[in-house]
Amino acid sequence: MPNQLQNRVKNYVGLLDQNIQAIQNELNQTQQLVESTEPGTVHLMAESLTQANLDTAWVQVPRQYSHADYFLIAMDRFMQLDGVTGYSILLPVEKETVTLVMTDLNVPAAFAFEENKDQNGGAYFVELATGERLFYWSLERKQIQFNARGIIDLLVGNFAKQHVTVEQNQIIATMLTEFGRYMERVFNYSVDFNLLETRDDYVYQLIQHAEPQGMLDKLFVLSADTNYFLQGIPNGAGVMLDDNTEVRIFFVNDANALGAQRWHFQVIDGRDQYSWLDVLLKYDFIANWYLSETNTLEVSYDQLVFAVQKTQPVDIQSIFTAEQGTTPMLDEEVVAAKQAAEAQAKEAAEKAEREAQAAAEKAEQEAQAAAEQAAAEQAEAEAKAAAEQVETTDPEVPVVEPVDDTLEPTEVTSETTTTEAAVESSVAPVAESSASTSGKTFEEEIGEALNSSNNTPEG
Amino acid sequence: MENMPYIQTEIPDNENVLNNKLSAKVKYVEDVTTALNEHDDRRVYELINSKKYNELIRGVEHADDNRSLASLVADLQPDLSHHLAERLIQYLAEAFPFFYYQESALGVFELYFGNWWDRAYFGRLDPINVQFKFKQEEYQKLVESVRLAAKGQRYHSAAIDELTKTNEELQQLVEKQGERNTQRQSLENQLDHLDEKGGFFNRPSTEERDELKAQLAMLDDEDEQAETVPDQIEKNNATILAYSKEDTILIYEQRAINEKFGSFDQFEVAAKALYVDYVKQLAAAAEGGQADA
Repeated sequence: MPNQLQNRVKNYVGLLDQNIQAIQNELNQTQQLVESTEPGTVHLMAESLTQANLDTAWVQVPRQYSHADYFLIAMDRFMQLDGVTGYSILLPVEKETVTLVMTDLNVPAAFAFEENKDQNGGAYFVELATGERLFYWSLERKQIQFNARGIIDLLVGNFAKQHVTVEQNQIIATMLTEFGRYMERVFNYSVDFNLLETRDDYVYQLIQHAEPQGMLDKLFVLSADTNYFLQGIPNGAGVMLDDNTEVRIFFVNDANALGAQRWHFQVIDGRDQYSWLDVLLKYDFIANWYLSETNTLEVSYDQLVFAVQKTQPVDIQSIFTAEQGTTPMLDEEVVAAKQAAEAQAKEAAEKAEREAQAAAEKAEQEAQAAAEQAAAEQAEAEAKAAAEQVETTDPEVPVVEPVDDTLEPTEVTSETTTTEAAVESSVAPVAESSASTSGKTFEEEIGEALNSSNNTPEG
Repeated sequence: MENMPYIQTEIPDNENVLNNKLSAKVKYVEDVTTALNEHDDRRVYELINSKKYNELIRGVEHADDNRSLASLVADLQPDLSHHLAERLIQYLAEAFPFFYYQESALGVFELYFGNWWDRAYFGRLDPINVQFKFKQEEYQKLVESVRLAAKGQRYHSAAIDELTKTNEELQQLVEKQGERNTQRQSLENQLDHLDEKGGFFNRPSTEERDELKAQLAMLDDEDEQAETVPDQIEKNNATILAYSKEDTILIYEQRAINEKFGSFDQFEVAAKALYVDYVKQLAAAAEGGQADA
């Protein structure tokens, strides 16, 4: 019969073992999530990991990915399997958090999931700096719902006004659309594309907030400054845009609709190529009109899922400034690495300074030499002139006198000063760039962060 | 008396004349029928108004009219109009590409300027007389806007500026609410002050009091006006939008005319010469066709 100590230790081992099993199980799932090339497995693992809780008491894992992170990891995997490009995932070395950023975007923006905490589960795909929720994703219900308002506010109302190009915006739109299409195709998801839908026969449903007043007249007046013009069609208006694309805005009679008219948009290009969002991105006059009419009507989205339109915006600068890398590091390692980097930077700065000083000294010497030579030449010339003068006027005056005059220090210093100034200004940028990182602009930080964790799919 | 024979009234025989006249009518109707069947619209125009045709196309001065014959087909005008419109509208699609037509009743063609949003109803097309019958109101607007365009103005520029100014003033009325409230407070204080020191014997203060009350009444008026400002601004904005829309339409109309004719004057000349240009073109086409055959 085993004694009490044996039992105690056995139980202890058992508890730890249970925890280790649970951890091992989760690790296996995580590994499959990131390694499997079988979409079904990835989906299954994602579904499990976004609900699992590794709150083991005996063996603790201090650093874990959150449910929201697993959503993004899964999204990245699916987009990788689908060959979607144009984005990167930021990988801070000091914590297990992932953020999606666009590789080509000239405004600060970072995307991540936010877990939906109510009983419906799922997560919102959010732009962190603005808090705009772009879509909702439920793995277990196989459902994706895009948020027309959030996407338009971000891309059309915000980015486009900050000179993000149509192409850059379209990369984001394409990424979202492709992701939705992949999930629809591979897993038979129910996807509410709304503003992203490109099918010609798709009639955009609208949320009508108020009865339109002179809505089409306004669009007509706006179109007057463009090469496009609004034409009347039955119950509405249409405008022929580039690339054989026609936009229609019309109503159908419906006693249940506000004002008994149910309004719709339609984008027809003959190839199922363009969505309402594409139209807004490409044609400023339509975008401006749409944004000014959103109090009247807007492209419809699920008003229950997006009852709360935004997440609390956060300062995303720290996401970009964090040390990036594929190998996780513990805090002390990070500190050590930082110190090493600082030391290196300091050394580089000192070296640059020394070099600069040496260069300055050299320049000074050269300048002085040049000045002396110039002075000597001038002196010679003047002496000669003086000598000539002396010859003609007063032969008693010593010929050396003018030479003393030209060697007065004032003239020499004035020349060296300008040379020195030139050297200093040419050295300045070197010293600055090799100095501490605090001098970098946000854009530079973003660029560096992107370079260090470029994650575009291989092959 | 009984045997007195009455001399019978002799009626000259005009059977020939009548026959001639009748056969002329028959021939006329036959000619029209043939022309219609052969879709020889030039001939139709000649037959339905020979005076106009001879004077304008053949250059005959003071040609006789054939009104009596033409009256034979007068009640067929809607049908004729419909028939003639077919080719005429084909021709107009080239000559006046910006006009659009809707046949609202048989042979009645409503004329619209342009295919843009809320295009103007511009009158009617009269295929029998080969003529535009422009709606005077719209036409005069266009004439006026052409005149203003030369000065770099739009038809409603002045009105829109005026309304914009009014809106700014109205907005100020609202913005000065705080100022008025302060002023009211001060006036009321002064009034209270007067009441306090006022007694039976302070008659002169009545004048002062009336003055204060008048100022307060003025503030009341302005406050009342300020309340209606949002409605007024909205109303004005709606008017501005309507004017802007009309200006846009007039700009499109001018642009369309200039693209086709180079100037509004050229357009007017072409519109007036439509009968001559069109019917001559039909004649030329017929001759060309015969020459080919």
